Amino acid sequence: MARYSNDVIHEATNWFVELTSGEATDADRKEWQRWLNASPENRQAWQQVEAITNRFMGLDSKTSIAVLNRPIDTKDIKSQERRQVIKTLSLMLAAGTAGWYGYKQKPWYLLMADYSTAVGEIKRLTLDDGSLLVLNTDTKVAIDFSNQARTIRLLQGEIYIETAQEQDRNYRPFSVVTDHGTVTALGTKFSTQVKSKHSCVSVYQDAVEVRPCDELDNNVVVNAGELVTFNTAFSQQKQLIDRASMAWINGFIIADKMPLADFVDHLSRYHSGILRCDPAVADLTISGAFPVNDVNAALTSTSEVLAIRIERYTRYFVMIKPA
Amino acid sequence: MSDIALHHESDVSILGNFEATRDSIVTDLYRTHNSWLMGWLRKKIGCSFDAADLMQDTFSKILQKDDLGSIKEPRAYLTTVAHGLMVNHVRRKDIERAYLEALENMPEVDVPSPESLNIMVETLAKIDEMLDGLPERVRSAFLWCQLEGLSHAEIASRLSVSVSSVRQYIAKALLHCLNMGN
Repeated sequence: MARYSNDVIHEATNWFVELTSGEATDADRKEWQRWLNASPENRQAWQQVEAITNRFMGLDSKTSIAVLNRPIDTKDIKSQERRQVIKTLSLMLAAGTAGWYGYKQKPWYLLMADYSTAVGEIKRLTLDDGSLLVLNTDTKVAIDFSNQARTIRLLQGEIYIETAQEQDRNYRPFSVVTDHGTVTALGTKFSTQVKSKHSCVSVYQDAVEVRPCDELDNNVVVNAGELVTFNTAFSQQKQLIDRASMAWINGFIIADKMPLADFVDHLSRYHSGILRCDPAVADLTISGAFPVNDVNAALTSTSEVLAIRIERYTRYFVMIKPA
Repeated sequence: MSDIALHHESDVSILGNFEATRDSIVTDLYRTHNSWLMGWLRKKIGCSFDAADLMQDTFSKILQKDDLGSIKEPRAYLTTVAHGLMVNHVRRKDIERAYLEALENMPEVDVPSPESLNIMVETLAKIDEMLDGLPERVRSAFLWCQLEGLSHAEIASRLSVSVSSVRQYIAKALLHCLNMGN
């Protein structure tokens, strides 16, 4: 493995951008030749660039783009599997006895998950570098620590992190990557949650930097006590966090005059099945600390202080109605 | 960076009769952990045929390693190697499926022979791995640039972003690929 200074690599990258722009002139290309011939280091760096572009040589552009840009549908694996069965069948018919067997399809990156939790489960882990990682209910993460960087891919759900200080010269930046962007810790306690359209970061100590993946310039620094929601292009206005929002880390929901509808929303994340609140009682307020590992107990104690009754149609379908 | 770490570790490993030591380390690993690893793989991949294949691949990959003396946590080590192979395996299946699907949808493209299908899947899987972790738009911009030869202005209008964003995407993608290559 040849090693170059970052400068040379960046120069080579700039030339690559220039030459692929579609607007490079003969003068630009002459200038590039001069750069190339200026030092063996430059030439070697460019060879690395060519090693990458050569991989695309001779590929059919239509099929290759269809394959490499194939949609990855996280939210609807079931229907993908169904579609897959139909495709497989029609392909097998088309291919006759050529024998291509369908594979029990899962998006491969969900298989990449190194740690996961079931609905209602909370897991605490200590990572190799000493950082604390807490997984909230129904969460999947992949850990990717290298010599250069500490990266956690949040594939689904919510995590809380206390980064360990790396003292020596080998400091490796710590970041959480979601579908919507990158959250880089600046020595920190913070949590990140990923949803289908956006991600959300709450910072409890120090600060983090958020960079939406499509608009890299729209980075924003989020300080302790602040919360920000971001999608792939931009972050929304920062809000102040409610300290009680981190109670899940210890397995609780803390409510302080919380509307029942919100409380039920929170609680339903820990319940496999449907948990609904009748609009007639949605605005009642509740206060207290409720363990999330026992949703039924939390509901029972709620029904003791409010004028509500809990109706259980099955184990999975629970309605909260006026008493 | 990785080769620095490697030198450092092989200093503390037993360098004596290297080959013999190495084989016995692998034999030990196999004897002690093979059924456990098989269980781990089967649980992850849900198919014992593929799991058996991957287990063989795991041990043959370990046989080619140079720094066996420094393995401190055998199971963690085995799962790291097996995990990497598993991700590649599933990726290949996924690529193969997408490629056959693309062929089916594009009757004008010639259906390749089984050999060239294999090579194609392998080539695409390597590129897919290299592009791993890039945001969707950055990935698309780079692919359109490399495979269709689109100018930055054309990419910008496809993505409805500015040309300067496209420049950033292309630079980001290339730097990412350069890092992955090392």
